[in-house]
Amino acid sequence: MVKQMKKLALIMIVLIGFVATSAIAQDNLSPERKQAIDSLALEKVRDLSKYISLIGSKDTPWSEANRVIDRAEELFMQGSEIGVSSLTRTEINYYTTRKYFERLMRLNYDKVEIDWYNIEYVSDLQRQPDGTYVGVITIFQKFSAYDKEGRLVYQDTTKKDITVYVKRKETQIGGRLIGFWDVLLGDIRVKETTI
Amino acid sequence: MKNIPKNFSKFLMVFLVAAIALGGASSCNSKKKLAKEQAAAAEAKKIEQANNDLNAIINGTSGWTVDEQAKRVATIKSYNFDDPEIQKLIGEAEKAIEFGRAEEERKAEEERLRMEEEARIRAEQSKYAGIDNQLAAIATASSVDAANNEINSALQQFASPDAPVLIIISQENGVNDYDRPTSAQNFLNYLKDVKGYNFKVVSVQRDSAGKITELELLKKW
Amino acid sequence: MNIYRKTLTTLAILLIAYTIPAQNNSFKGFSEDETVLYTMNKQVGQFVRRFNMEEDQYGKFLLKEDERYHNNDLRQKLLPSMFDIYNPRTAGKLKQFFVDDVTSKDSSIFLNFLDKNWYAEVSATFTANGDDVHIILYLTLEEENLGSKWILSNVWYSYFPSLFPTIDSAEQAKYFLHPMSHELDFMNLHKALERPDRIQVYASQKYRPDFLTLFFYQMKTGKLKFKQIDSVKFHFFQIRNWYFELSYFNRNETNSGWLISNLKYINNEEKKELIKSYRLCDSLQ
Repeated sequence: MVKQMKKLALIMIVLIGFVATSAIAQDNLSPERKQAIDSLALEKVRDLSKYISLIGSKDTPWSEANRVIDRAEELFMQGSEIGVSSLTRTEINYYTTRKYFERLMRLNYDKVEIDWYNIEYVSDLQRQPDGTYVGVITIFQKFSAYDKEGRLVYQDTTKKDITVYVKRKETQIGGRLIGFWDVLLGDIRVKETTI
Repeated sequence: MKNIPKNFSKFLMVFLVAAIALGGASSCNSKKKLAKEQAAAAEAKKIEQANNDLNAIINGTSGWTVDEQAKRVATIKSYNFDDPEIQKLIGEAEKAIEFGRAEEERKAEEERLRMEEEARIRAEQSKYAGIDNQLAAIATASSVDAANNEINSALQQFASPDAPVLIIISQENGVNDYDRPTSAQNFLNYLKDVKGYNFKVVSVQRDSAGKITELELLKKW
Repeated sequence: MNIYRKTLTTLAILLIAYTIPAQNNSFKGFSEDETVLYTMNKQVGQFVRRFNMEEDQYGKFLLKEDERYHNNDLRQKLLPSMFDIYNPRTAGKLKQFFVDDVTSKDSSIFLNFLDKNWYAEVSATFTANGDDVHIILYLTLEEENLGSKWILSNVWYSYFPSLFPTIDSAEQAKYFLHPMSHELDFMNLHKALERPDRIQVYASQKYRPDFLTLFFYQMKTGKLKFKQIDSVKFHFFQIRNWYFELSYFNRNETNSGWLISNLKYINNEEKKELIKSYRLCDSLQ
């Protein structure tokens, strides 16, 4: 009996040790793996940029735009909001992601151009209490709208600070255990800039 | 006081004459001695050089190939230096060369295997070039309709539109990190939406009918 | 003064020209000078990473092995551009002293995300009885389980201190429950409670009202309702003898984004006093 207890204790110690070291190993990712995660997060933001351009474009057929809205929504954590303020209105308007995309699709201009500055800033990833990593990616967008005669009727440049959640997950596919990084976008703060 | 310089120059003259005469005589006498000294110096230099070379071989700092090192040691051996230090170094250098040769052989084999594996991977990847091309065609289609046609024909190759598509985002020490798994249908539409194909097919699972049941891609950053 | 400002601006521009090659990149055929966007401190974290010299001019991480990483000579050059150049307090000699201190060879100072003693100040509008009121929320980072989170550490609302007016000590000395009150079943208590405006004099001499609790109470009872956030800034106390404030400047020039907007050389005692407004006294470690 005592012998068995000892054995059990040993197994427990080994198990706990394993769990602890794997948790530490997880936290001390090599710079290369960290880089890959940053790139993946940035890629999701770029995907979002492309979806936004598609949704906003008058050339995108209605059915396609609706499909793209669904895909764009899949990039987000449920309940994410987009908070928008302008130079003249510092008050923040909050939209759900779907509302935001639908508004974009229904904009009453004859032609819109959505351009993304070639600059993206990726923050450090910090862990929140549940262990999920949180980061913020900052991008800049220029929006121009034209009327029927091709005259520029509205233009703004906005800074978009996009929350990114990164969580390590595992799933079984074809009998194999696949470890993957689940990257989801969260709240976005959209602030008009003077640029 | 004034006389001194005069006397001094006289004295100097006498001294110089004497010195030249004596000097000439002494050089004549020691020619043999000089030759002997020169030979000894040459020998010492040779020993010093041998000592340096052997140490460089032992420490792996010679910069020579293993063959060059062996040749140099053979030459040093042929001098038959009567110097216990050199003899000891020769022994050590021979061991170092032996070790170097063994390492070279192993490295060569490792390199051969690596090349072979790379060739195999290349061959395997070119095996998937067809799929890569088809996927790239979706991304570069001229219109939404053209892209949709490409998607439909690509989907024919999958066992189901829900067949899993795995995307490797980093490979380190044999560990693959993946993006969230997606489905064939979603992935093909994704290529259409983002209008780019920065991936490479690395493995394909097929069912008995030859349809793709799982696609694994490597993301190119 | 004007010349001084101009010189500073020129210096800053020169520095930027030195660190950032002119960018004329285009994406989707879009082309514009992006120098301002590169130069501005786009995130608080970028301010910290630049302060420490942990990223290159494009915002890419520097590895610890990189000779630029934490390099004090580079920090000496970069740090002066991270201050609001239009504020005399952050544009003169004091700023140079600060830069010298944090980049000194023997005792260089770096900021860390999880440092204690840096606070966020959120100015917000609430409504009380239908009227807009201005309230400041103070937040600080707290570690928990696997990570960390921002917590509300204090609040400032002019109404709360007005509930606790300072009563001069002579006046205060008149009011107390005498030490034998217990023998009379505290029958004198009712007199004490008759005047709620000075009720606090019956508490300990050490008593300090806890405004965060008052704030929670008013929120819970619906007396206060959140309306909107007006602005956010940060207060850094972790550097010995220095305090600085970080604010966001939305300007179309390179001196923009998150910049040091206030700087003070203060001793530890003064610092403790200042921190009191950001963090409840009780929770001060």
